[in-house]
Amino acid sequence: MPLNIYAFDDCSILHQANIEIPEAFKRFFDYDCLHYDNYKKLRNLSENLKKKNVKKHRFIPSNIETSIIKVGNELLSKCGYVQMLGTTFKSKVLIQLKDFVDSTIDGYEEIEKNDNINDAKRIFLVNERELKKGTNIPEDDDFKIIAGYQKYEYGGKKYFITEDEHFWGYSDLILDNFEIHIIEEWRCHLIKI
Amino acid sequence: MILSQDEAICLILDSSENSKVTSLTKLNKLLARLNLHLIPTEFEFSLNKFGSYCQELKLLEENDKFAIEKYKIDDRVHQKYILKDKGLQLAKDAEENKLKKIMNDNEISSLKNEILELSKLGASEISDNEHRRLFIDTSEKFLLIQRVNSTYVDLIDLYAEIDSVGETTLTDIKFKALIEYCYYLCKYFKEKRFKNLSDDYDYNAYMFDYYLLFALEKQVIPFLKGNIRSEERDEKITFRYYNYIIDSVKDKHPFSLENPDLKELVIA
Repeated sequence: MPLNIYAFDDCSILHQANIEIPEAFKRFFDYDCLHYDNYKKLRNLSENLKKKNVKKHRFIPSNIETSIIKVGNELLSKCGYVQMLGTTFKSKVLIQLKDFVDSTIDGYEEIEKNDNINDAKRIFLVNERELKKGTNIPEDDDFKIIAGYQKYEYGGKKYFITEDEHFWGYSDLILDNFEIHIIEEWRCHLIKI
Repeated sequence: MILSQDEAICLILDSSENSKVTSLTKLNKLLARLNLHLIPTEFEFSLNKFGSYCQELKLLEENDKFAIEKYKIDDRVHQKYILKDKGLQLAKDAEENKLKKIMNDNEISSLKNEILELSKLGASEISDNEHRRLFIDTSEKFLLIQRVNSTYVDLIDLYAEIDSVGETTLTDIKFKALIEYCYYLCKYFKEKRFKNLSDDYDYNAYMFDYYLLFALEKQVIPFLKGNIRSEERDEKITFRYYNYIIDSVKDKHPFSLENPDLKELVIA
């Protein structure tokens, strides 16, 4: 029986990063490292996949720089105001995120996004839902991921780990129409590999 | 990006006349010269009246990358440093994997030519040249103060425009961080470090005081001024200046992100 396949969106890859606070800034924090809320769950999942020799996947072409800035800003908004050299601190956080990606990206198999998104988009437009954050309809890049994953030939179940509501807000629709299991990032520890 | 001690020595030897340097003092001066090109190394330089001085170099031992040969002139024993094949390979790897991240081919070639020409001079001539560039001599302290003041004025103007720099790319954010960091660094130079200079050589000085100020005036500020309103900024140059000014000093200078008490030096 083929193994299942686990793909991560770029932000969920970045949420696995552990950011060390430079010495000069430590006085502004009660902790030495910054990480995202779901950091431990994601790292555990990654470790378990590694132990069982299951390759992780990601989607290309990637907008990783945009994701780095987005995740960096989220991390910084959670840690509050730094009383000196705020932009310098931000740059150190972003550089560490970039270094994290550079050092881990080889551990992911690549799945090509698919530019042919009209069919997928139509299904969402017909079934539009009220989402809590952002737009109700996913962005074109989200459709490219769905279309690319659907096209990717694989015998086992396809899982996609993401924090993006554009996916988990439509998880049943995506499963029914594209046979992709959407796993909310904060529930990734419940996956049985 | 920082050059290891072996990498820095092998790069210098590779660029020097006949791939050798004929004295420890000269090797010291040539290694220090990398700082004027904003190339950080693991060597720590302090200041004496001969300029940059690295204590660790005295302990340098021959290895598989370079040889150290002793020779006598007028009963005084000198040492010369000679590149070996493994060292040549290390120099080439360092150029490919490190220097090319921060410099274009023309800059690397110009650096090598400069080292070649300097390697033909005596250590005291190289030292004179360094003094002129950095205003180390006590007789030139007024020029040093002028440099601090004019650099600070330039940075006030740049810092006033910092909010106009977007944050669309990592390079933008590094560029913006560089403006912020340089502004506070120079403010520290003006209001603390160079505020009450003694008439004698400042033997407690960090050589980075001089390197950083030189880098700000001669290279970083012209780059910041020329690019603050640009839509696209050169990633390699931004990284080079960011790397040298913000990352390279580590524990070799108090104005460092590795100093837990940096806040005391960041003057609001």
